Amino acid sequence: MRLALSLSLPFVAASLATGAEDRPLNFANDIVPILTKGGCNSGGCHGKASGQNGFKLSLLGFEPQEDYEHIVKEGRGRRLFPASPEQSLLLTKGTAQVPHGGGKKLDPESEEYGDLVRWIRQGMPYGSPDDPTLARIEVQPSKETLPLKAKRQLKVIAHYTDGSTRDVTRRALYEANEKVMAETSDSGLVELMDMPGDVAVMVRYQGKVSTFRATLPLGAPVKELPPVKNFVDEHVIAKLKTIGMPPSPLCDDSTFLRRVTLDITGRLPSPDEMKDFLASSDPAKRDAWINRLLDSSEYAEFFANKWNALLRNKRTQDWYARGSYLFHNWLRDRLMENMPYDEFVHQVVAASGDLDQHPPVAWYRQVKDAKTQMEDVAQLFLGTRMQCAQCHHHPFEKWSQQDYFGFAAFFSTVNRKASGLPGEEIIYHKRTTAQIVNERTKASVKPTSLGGPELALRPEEDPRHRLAQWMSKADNPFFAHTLVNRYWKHFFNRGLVEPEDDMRETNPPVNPELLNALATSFVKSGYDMKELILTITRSSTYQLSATPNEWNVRDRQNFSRYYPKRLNAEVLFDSVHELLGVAPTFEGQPVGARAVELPDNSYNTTNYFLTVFGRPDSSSACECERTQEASLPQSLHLLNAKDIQEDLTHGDGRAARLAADTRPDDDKLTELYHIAFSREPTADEMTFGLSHLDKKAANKSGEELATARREAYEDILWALMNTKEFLFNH
Amino acid sequence: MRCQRRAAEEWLRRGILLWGSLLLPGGLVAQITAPLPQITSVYPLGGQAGTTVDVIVKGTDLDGSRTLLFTPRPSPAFHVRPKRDANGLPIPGQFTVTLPPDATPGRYDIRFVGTFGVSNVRQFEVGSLREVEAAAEHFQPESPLKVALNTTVNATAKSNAPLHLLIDGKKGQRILVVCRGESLDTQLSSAGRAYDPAGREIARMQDQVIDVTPAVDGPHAIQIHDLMYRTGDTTGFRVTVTDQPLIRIAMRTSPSGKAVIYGLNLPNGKPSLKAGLERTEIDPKQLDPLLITNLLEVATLEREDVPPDASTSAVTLHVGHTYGGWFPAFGLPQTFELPLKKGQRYVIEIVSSQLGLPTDPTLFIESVKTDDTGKETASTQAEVLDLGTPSPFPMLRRPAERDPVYAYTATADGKFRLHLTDTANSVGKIRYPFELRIRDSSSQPLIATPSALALPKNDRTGVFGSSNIWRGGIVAFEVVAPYRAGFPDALMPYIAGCPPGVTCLGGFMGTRQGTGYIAFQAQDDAPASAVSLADWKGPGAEILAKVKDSNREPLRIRQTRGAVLGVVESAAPARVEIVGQQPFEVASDGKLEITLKAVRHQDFTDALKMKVLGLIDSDKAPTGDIPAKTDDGKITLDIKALKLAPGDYGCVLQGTAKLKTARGIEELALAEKAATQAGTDLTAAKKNPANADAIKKAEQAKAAADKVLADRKAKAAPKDAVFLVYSQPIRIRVIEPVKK
Repeated sequence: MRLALSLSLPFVAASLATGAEDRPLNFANDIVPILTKGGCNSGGCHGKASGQNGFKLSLLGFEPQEDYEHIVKEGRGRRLFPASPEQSLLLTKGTAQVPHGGGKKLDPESEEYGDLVRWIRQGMPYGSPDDPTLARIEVQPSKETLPLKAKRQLKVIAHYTDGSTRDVTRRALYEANEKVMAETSDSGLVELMDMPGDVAVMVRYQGKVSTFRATLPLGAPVKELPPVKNFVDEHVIAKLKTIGMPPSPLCDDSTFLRRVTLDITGRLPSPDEMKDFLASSDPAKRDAWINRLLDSSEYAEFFANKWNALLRNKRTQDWYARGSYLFHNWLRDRLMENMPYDEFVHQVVAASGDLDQHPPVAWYRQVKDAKTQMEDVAQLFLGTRMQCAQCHHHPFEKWSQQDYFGFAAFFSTVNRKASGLPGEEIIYHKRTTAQIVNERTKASVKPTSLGGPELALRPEEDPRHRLAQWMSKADNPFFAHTLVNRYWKHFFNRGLVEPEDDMRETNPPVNPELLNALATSFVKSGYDMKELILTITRSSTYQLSATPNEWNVRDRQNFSRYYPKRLNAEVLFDSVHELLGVAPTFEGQPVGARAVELPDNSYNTTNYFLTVFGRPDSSSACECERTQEASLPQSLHLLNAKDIQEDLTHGDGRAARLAADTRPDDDKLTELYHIAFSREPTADEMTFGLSHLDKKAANKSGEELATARREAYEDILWALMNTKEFLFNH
Repeated sequence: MRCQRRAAEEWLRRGILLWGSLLLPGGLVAQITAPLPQITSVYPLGGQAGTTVDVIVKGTDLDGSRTLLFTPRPSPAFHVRPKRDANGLPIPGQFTVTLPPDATPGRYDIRFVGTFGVSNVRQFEVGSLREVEAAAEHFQPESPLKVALNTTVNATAKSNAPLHLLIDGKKGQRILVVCRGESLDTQLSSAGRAYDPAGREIARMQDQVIDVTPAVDGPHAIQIHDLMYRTGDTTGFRVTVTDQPLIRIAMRTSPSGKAVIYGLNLPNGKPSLKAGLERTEIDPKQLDPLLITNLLEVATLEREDVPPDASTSAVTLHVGHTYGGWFPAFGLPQTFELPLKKGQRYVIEIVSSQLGLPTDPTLFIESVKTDDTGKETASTQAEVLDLGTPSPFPMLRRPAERDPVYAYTATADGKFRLHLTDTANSVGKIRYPFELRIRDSSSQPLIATPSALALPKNDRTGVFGSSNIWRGGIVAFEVVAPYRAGFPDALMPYIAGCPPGVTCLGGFMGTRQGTGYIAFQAQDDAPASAVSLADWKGPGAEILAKVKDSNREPLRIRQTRGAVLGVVESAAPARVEIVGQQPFEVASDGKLEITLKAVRHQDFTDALKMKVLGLIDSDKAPTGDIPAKTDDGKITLDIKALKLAPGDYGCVLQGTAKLKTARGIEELALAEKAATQAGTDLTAAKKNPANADAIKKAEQAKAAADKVLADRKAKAAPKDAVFLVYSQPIRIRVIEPVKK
């Protein structure tokens, strides 16, 4: 229906420049885009693998040769009727003159309908081999600063190999990356909303993509600015100035301490740490605290937990346990020693041997074939999703099937043999020519980096080393950018590119200068992951308050304030147990082991808390497996789950200990606030807490009083645990 | 009686590697219930020379503790006494071991010897440092065990918490914390960390060692645990805190004429990327004493002489030589050229992973032809990933299997180009050494089979067979010669130096076969014994023991320090003798009928169904019958169906037999004594009716003792047990069929 509506509109853009009646039409250049615009070759219609009702088209028209066969020759040519083009099934179906499951896709009055009729009348030419092909498309304008609620008509120019151009605005497809910021029409009209920031509109035409980027300034006065600590602040502040969005002030020490401790180590600061930190008058104490956190083994454990899931350290068989522990330990130890990221990735991607010799071979347990290995590497380390390109040209990207298989060929010599561990395998490079078959063309493809030339390697050369070397080249446009964006999101709850592992031309960063600067700095540092974290967390940007001002309350992409995030499953589990004073127990772990230290996904099935709060199952290389959203089951679990209640009322738990503690109640209440929020209680909070204790204890004595006091502390702990302040890092 | 020495001498000299096991087809293994001592743990795992150690072994069928057998035979000998209770009865599995002050330090194989013969193997380490024991409290962080330098701690993971040690660190002093668990045959896969006085982690365990150099003076905490925090008797370990050097790799000679050692904390050691260790050179005479006292086994190679740039410049090899070098980084090949002479036999052996190194060598061989113009053309001859020969343990992989071996008899003059890579260490800078041997026959050390090994495919906790022989019985071992590829001649393995009253019946490995059998027969009056087969020059190979968490852990096999055979002083249910002059000659299209004669225990009258082992897969193997209550039977071999080409072959027959057997007699005696004592105590208590509490306690003690006694009586009652029964070896000569 979309096409029908748009094609019936009067032209809003210039008409096709060379649309003269006598111009010989080219199937790929003139006909396929009509089908694509109409959605005929979409995945939900004739473009799906099995086609639709006996009529199959290549997905989004990426294979015009095949489409020509299907339309012109298949079914003994019954879809077209040259003697009377208007009677062609292709047109009578498209215009719904005869029943069509997809409804009306063409208006008989439209130019597209006319072109189809003319093409049939011309004898359905495919086109000459000498005909120009599409080289690129250009969006005009490509970038613009526009006021809120403005409208902008885009113009799309197709550039062909013979140097000719054509206005294809009507036949291009448009999609905004932030739907809350902009809407697009089929005709290329962009309507901006009232949310300041950057929005990109992806434009697609005949397998080529381009973008229009609009900056929507708020226009507020930006006067009060935090100190510039490093280049991060320079770029963020520059952006805030551009769009006129004043940032929130720096957060207080308590907030900073809790935030950065949770973000770097996945734990709450201890009351002693809090007291020392707040008491210190050292102006560099924040930097010093970050250093201390990064030196701690808790940093390594927390980030190992992150990488463990992304690298699919999964226990799908009982006997995978040893390998899971080994790989998890390996990750932890490499992070602890701060192995350079390029080497870290090399060790995983080119892993060889058995689990005892080289634990990263555990990754190969879950990624069994060259295609999956390549797809994971592309997504995880290059922020590029190649999956689509296996079957067809990537719709939003430049990657073709040749690119897909060429990249997969880096893994074509990975071989396996039985290892000493039951059910486990040894991974090794098989001495052979590295190549893989392009499943469409059936031709062999040699290892080819993304955008690079085909490599001819000697049989003894393991192509994975060449892949790792290519990835870690300083000028690689994907590798460093992906990691810094991934880590940026870890700390800010929002990537400079979202999602963090879908970095492409048509999904531009919200602050490209910052992303490039971070990547450059990361490369220059020798791929130093701790240095990157230092850079991020030392910045004033990271240390801004989460409390919005009157201007930035709706900001979701400019980092004008800290965006609060719910504690992830493991961190929340550990924090709850810390607050309740109960040591958790996990099978195969010492008593008191933190959930962030667990070696694999196997604990999810036996621990509902971890499941309901979204601990990932290590089934993919996507960060999206970890769910951060809040849900009703989560709330219910914290409010009244049996295991939470058991911990709350545990005989050796915090409530019981506090009830038996002879210190004044206000001291004990203060301690709870220190643990939960790393701050002092307010006067109101203290009054409320004490009154609750008094109320529960009223008119009781002896054993009854002891029970009441314990229950009162349980109530207070329960209430603190269920506050947003506790559940969120802010 | 001494075994006779036969033609096996020649075979031994040829140095064919043997790997052996008692072949127990899966179905049979599950049925075998005959008593067999198996030890699952030894504690402590060692002791200091010059001290007396109370050693506890745990396992099954540990009836009648007699002694602990150490191999190689300690000199001076260790004094071993079974521990006894207050009544003088031996306590099952408990011994007092006195280690002479001049006992040779190092590792010994240790086996339990009791009523049912000799057990499987484990290890016991004799050290020169002082030793302490870790208690349960030391697994709590608040009560660490304070350890002085150069001390060994014996421990077992009693809970899933780490063992906490505290050492007094001095700034700049290098300390090695060396943990042996798996490497002493336990299940403990060592993991651990070191912390500075401020609680910051400063070092982690790698390859059983935490290497710490304190940055400040003060107490440094050490945590040791199993990788998966497993607990129990099978997780014993020894931790040594030392400032002494630790050698990991040694080369006996080098171009400089010095021995080269690689390790940690070496005097004058220089950092080397090779294996991530330090390197130094020493006088070759100093090497062996260092190896003996080293805390970990050292991968010892003969030489270090292959130039490091051999990946680009081929080294020419010569028959009879051994070459030592280091695998290039990134999995790139080290290249060699081997000139070939027509008719010459070549065996190319790689030695690396079998030395305990974490390598996985691959040998790629090209045959190089040169035309008249001098132009070379290379074609693939072979890619040898592993040993690639029949394994007695198809479900298991042994490290040694990763070292490739290739045998070839040249059909023309020419040249091989060898490309040797380590596929396991293709990432990073760490490299490991290899030894390449070029021989005209295998130079691998001889490995015997002290213990029978076999496992059903899907049961890793089953019975592993026995290296014991019962009076009047025959026991047959499978032997595997993995490096026989390409050698057409048959072999006749033989072992001299058998226990008293035992005869080696010899064995046979057929034409081009890599497996065969060797059998022993005990006399009806053979005395109980357990001896190391001194004549068997090489080590043995054993599965260590059952493992509890079979889903998590592989069954580990290691080479043992000598082969052992035990004699059980009870009669076997039967043996089967072969009637007629051997070898039996038969045409390759003919049938061979062999007459069998059973020699039975008086209580065993059942039929015997005997299956052929060694000629065909056991599932398809022909069987012969000896009916119940008779001694005579026969088996017919259809040579055509067995697809035996002309040549010499050997086999044995195997069956099962049921016989009533009593277990736990010793425990029963202890229980009887205890029950008697409890009765006496009760009688005494009742003499003072006023002390009701004492009477009550005595009654409870008596009731408990009676219950134990009843349990032990039930256990000790003779029950049917299923034994394996073997025949004497059979030798067959298959000849060409008669032309019609």
